[in-house]
Amino acid sequence: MVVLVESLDFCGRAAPIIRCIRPRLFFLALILSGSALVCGCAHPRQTEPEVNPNDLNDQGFQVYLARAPLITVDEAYRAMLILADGEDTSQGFAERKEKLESRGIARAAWNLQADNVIDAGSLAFMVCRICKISGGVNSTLFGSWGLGDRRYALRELIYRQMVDEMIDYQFVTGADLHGLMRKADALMMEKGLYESENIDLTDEGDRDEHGELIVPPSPN
Amino acid sequence: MTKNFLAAATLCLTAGFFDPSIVMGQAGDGAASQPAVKTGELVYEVVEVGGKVAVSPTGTDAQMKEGWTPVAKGQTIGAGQQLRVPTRSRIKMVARPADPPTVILIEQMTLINIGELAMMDGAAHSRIQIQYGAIKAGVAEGTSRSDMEIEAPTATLSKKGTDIFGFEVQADGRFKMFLTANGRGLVQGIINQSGAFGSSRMNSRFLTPGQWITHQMIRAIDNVQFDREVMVNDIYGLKGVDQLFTLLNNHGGVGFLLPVGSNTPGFLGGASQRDGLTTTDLNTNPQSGNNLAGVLQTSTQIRHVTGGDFGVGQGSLPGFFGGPPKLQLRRDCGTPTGGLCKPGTPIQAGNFTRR
Repeated sequence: MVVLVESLDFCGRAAPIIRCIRPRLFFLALILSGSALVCGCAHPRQTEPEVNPNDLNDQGFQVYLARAPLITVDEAYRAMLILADGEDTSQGFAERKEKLESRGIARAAWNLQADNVIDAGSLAFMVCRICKISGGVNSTLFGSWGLGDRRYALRELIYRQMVDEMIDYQFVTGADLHGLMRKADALMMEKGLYESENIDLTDEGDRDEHGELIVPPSPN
Repeated sequence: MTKNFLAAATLCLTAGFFDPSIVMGQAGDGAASQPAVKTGELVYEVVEVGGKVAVSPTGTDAQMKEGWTPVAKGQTIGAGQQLRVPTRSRIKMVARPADPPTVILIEQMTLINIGELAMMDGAAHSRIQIQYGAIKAGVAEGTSRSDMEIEAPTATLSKKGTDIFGFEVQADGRFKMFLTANGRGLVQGIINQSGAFGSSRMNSRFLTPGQWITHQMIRAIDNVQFDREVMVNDIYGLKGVDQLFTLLNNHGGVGFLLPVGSNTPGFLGGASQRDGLTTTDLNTNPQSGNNLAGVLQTSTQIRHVTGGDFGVGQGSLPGFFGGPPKLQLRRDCGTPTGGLCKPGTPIQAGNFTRR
């Protein structure tokens, strides 16, 4: 901003910057910078997907997520409802938004728009809420009332190796979201957050006293 | 003739009914699209299933609803079919007939295709392609061998007599392969890399039980902290064969101090032909010299090597163990066990003598 002001100075001689500052230009630059900070870098996807995800059922939508280059807020909300409830019965973005915000999974203060690309921090916060991951001291002290809530949630998921190292304001790819959903669902199953048959293959549960693999009997 | 004709027709129909090559029925609802399974072929039998697992012939678009049928317990899955496992779903299958059989678990959010599945030359041959998701399997060796490979877009897992191993793949190619802590055998992880004239396999690593690798092909042992005990061998506390074994394998943990060529005997102060100081000892004391055991037993002095194994001549070691003396003598030379001293060595060999 200082360089911009200098280039617009018409004093014509070497003078301290403070004398040659044009107040109106200075405040204009200040307002523009502040707007950028407030609005962030969120914007819609540049390319439209090959299929309309609204035409897909929940299983097809999960396959679509794996192939999508970037994920919108609406798609992320749908994915989170599938993760939380096993299915999404909502009719549109407004209904999904209302459901997630009423349950504390998403926050209205984020002011996310349906067609904008979702960021990693918002997604991480929602996953932590659904999987009942409480986080550390910072997350409890500051994140609980909104200060750095998304950043701390993302750091918590990175610590748990549910996502790779990333920044909280970067865009989320479909592959990232798909991988995160898989791990989150496995964690939910482990914690018993939904009813399941607990089908697994582990050293603890599938080996006999000699260490040999136990082969399940034929159901026929 | 009519009787003969009827008898022949009856015989043909009866033979056809009991022909073992006739298609075996598939259990479960929605099994109309299942392929024929002939006796002798290898199939995966579903022993446990939960959620909304669906199966379809290879090539069906996984995003679409059409072409997919739910999988039920007891159903068989064969080559040329793909499985779509969404959230809150899992499926466990057993390869049959095989002795011992293979147990496979496909976790949620997974899409796999079974490319090949057959008994070939006495081995259970299977090739599975995983687009994304996670798969775990236990393959024990028995009367028949098991040839199993799981291929992902960027990597291939080849098992070598193994149980229980896992393969997690993300849609963008990132992956993780692992062998459980109580696993047996080895798993070979192969990175697929495209060459100028098609794909070629490069960069493979073997995993031992408890290890894992990711798309960076870095062993867990390089990354995991506090995950396993590290034995720090005390070369001075160990004796005899234990000491010898430790030194031969890791130079007692101080291999980084060795000069170029890792002249272990020289480092430990033992006789080395190259240093020219112990020719007498070599000739008279069979325990010294090139016999490393003899070196360890008779000499505890850290010696400095004036030349490396390959004549690089790195000179003396860093002064970690003290300044380099010009000449060091065997402490016990001149004694019955220490052998003769070098010419010119003082008779009082009990003390160090420096020139």
